[in-house]
Amino acid sequence: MSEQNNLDLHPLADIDRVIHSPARLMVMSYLYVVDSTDYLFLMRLTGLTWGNLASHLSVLERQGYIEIEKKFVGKKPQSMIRLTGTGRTSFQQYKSKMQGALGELPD
Amino acid sequence: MSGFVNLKDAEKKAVRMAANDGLWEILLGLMLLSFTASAALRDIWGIPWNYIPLMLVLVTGIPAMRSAKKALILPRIGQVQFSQERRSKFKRVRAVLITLVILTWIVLFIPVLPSVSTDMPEAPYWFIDAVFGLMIIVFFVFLAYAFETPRLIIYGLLFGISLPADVILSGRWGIEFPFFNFLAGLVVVTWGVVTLVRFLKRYPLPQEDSYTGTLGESSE
Repeated sequence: MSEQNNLDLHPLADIDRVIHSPARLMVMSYLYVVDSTDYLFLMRLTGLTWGNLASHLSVLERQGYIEIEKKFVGKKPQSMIRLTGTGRTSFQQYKSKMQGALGELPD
Repeated sequence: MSGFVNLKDAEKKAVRMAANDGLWEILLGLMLLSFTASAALRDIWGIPWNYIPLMLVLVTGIPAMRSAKKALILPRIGQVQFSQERRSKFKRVRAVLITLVILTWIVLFIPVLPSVSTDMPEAPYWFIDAVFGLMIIVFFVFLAYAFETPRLIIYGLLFGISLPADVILSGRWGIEFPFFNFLAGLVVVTWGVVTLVRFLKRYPLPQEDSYTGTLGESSE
């Protein structure tokens, strides 16, 4: 009972909603653990459709959380997506807020 | 964040997806089948010519696998660059694997040495098989570690044990054909082909315009 009284769920009120969407959380998590991927690999990894992924990537790019590097490999264009410094920091903050708020909840 | 978003599992999933295409199994299985061919050809072609099939696989295997990866795998699952930590792990494993291949080449020449110089002692008949067996187990353990694929250890044990088993088969019953080695190679090549076919079915070639277009506007 006392454990539950000590719970501080206030950090959840200002949780980063851009990251908090399930699909974007999945995208951010994968980009957090690898250096970079192209669209196709991210699409396969997350199981999202291209349209859905594109829309979420667009939100993350506008927010400055990801950057898309476009280059040519031979004659083929290739776009690699990676987290920016801001994106990485925001994800770390999101992670610690969630851990802090939910980690102490009883089973 | 365990139980909520497991980042370690997320990274492992990315590694497995990039590596679990069956190509490694096919290459390693063919390598083992070439051991079988070398052993079967010992009396026909003589040493060292019987090692030609094995040398062919050792020399052409990696370039062939890279070409297959480029033509079959990358267009289906795309590209990933792993984190610095994971790349360092790959580099360490690659160094060990290259050392093992070099050692294998050296071991291959040990039976030839007495014919080059009479001062060289003859290696015991079981020596090559025992060293190969051990090298194969170590090789597979490192592969399993690098690619987060524990079943590779089972292949390693299967191969590693098949070599001394064949020596026993030959010594006890006089059967010269390396039956266990052949069987192990066949099992792993078959499993590699099954994995590759499953991979190709699971990840069909995407429509070109479905993933190279510009980012759409968000609905959120």
